Amino acid sequence: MSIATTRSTATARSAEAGRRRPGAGRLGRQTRHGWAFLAPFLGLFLLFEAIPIGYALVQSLREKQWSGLGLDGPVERFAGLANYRRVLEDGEVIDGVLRMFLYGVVQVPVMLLLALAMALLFDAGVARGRRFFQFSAFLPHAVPGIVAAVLWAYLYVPGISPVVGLLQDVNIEVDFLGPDTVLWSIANIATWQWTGYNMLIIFAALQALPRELFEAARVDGAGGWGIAWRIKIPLVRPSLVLTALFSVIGTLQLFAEPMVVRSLTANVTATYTPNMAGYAQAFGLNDPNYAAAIAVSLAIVAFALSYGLMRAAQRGVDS
Amino acid sequence: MPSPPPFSPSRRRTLALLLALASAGAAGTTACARTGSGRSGSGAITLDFWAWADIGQAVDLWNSTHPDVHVELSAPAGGASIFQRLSSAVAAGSGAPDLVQVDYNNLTTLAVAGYLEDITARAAALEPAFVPSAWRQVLIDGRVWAVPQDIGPMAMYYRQDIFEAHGLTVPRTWDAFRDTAARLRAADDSRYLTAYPAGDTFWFASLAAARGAQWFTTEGESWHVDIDGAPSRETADFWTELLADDLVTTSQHWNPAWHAALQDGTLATWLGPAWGAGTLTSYPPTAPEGVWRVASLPSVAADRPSSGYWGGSSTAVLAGSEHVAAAVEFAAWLNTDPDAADLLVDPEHSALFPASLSGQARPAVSRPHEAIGGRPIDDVFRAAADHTHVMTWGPTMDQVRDDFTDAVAAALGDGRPLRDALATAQGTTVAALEQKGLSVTA
Repeated sequence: MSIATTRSTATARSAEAGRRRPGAGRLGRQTRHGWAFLAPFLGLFLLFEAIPIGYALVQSLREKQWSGLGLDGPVERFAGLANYRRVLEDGEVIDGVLRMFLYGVVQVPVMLLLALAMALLFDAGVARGRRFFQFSAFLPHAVPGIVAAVLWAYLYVPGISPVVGLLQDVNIEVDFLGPDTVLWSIANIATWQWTGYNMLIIFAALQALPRELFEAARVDGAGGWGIAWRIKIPLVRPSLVLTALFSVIGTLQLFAEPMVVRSLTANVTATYTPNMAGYAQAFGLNDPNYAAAIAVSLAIVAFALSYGLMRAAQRGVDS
Repeated sequence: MPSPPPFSPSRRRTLALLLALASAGAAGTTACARTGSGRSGSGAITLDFWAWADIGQAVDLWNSTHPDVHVELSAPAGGASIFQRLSSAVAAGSGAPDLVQVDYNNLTTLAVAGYLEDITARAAALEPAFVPSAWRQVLIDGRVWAVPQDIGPMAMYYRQDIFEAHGLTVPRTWDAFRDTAARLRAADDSRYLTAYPAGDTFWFASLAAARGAQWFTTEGESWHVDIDGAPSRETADFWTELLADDLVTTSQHWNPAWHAALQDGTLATWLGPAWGAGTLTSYPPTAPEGVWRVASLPSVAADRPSSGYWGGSSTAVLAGSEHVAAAVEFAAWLNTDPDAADLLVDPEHSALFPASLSGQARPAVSRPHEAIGGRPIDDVFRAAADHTHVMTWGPTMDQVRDDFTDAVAAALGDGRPLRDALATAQGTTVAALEQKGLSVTA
């Protein structure tokens, strides 16, 4: 393990050295050029990241208040942290977050294991017609999320779905949209869509590994399993952490799939996921201030989770 | 069946006079507004109108006959998200239209949001032009917030072929409805008399209203919330029992499975509104042609027919419009002019069931419907509108809709009675109103 890590950091370092621009020695000019190169990024970052986030923060500290029947319209005022207190006391938002945890604990490992297994198979050259299978595995990701959700949703609806119909023909009654099953039906859509994408990231990392390592291992008597388990998986660990990170954040932000499925079953509530709760507040319930507080809270949770995951991964590497 | 209200010549004259006065007043103000507007080069003003119904033809007719006021119709995002677009536009301070099509159940919500212009002064005189129960739907606290366009009184669509095959008679009371459901189940267990639409709050509300429910009333400066009052509970208990005895199934309106069940005869009736006739043929119809009929909604007592409204829409003027007078004038014309009515009623387009008396008198309203065996359906719905109990809607209807829908799903999932969902919605609604700072009594 430690050998592998040293090796991979060494590879990374030499790669970085190779990318360094020649003649970038004089500091003043370098700084100036640096800023010039950064400017497009910084401009876009300010415009599309920093300012909107700042605006959301400001919005989340304000509230609209009515009086009487409310027919004279609202008055907007500073609310302090009242909207955030509401988030913490809002059972529906909390339920949504817990539901996403439950979902993530199951869906993320299943998807990543699938992606890893596929990546290892393709890397080992086991599958015939590798390009075809790789393409097929990635194809679902190229389908727009809403289209994928609509596609699957129709496979779930009894009376329309050939799947449900076939199962009924052999006397298996399934309700993909039932109160206990619908979460996993949504998880299935996301897994279908994202496994190929994660597979590609892991596969790219595998392809970048030096082949001589495997030859050495083979000489030492390691079989295919041993190489995969003891060399490949530890070496692509950074990619696994990265895909896990993306997946956890993606889980917290789940929106399109449950929104589509909601049109087919009442078992997906309006606040089924935290993002849906924010959406409902902003657009349905006309409370953009509270929606902003939900969004900011969600961002904080996502940030904390990502940080925790990175730290845990780092500790794993150090030990 | 009671005949439609007589439309006497004297009444028509009064009406025409009122309308003339209203438009004369509006035209006067339009002239003033025009000078302030630089939106169009020719001196005419332009009104932006967001609507989801297919009413372009009527708008074209207005534009060809009213050179001074040009109406620009758009259906942002297909209409479903019109209010989301609206709230974004109002928040952004630009891009909001002058006029918007609003379903009655959203009217209070939009008025309280501060989006709508109180048009009482300009539109109150239009009252005699409309079916009385339709007019009551645009009143909140005695003020006028929109001009009624179409109405959705509830009735019962039923499959004549299935009723005949099993010797069933059309139920006129809810007790008879239950018996009919049981007899159909006994005769053919692949069929149900109807499906309880689990996700549909406003469908439920229309049936509760038919029993006299008033979910929201204004008492002075306070909202009185009574979602779980006796008429609503009776409605909930009725369906709870039918579901418990497997006499009706559950489904979700507009879901493909529901459409399929209507077509393949799994469901023998649909308790639906006037605007719903097209639903019977909008999905690839597999049912034998012309097997549908329509009858009055069952009621508690056969000699006291009653109905409720589901959906229907109005034309409202946006607060902040620079051309309020012209907008009201257009809204009045769109919804009372006989030629406009012909276009709104046109089955090729919006196929609306008009809210105005002049619209109701158009021959196109009494057209035969192929799906209904080549019969007209307007008599049934006209009578339903006469017997309709009008519900006033509250300031947070999206919240009420979502909370009731979700609570119904939870109750059905846990096998609890539907009245639990009423109690849940009552509690969350009072809390939501209080959260906004509104005055509320429960």
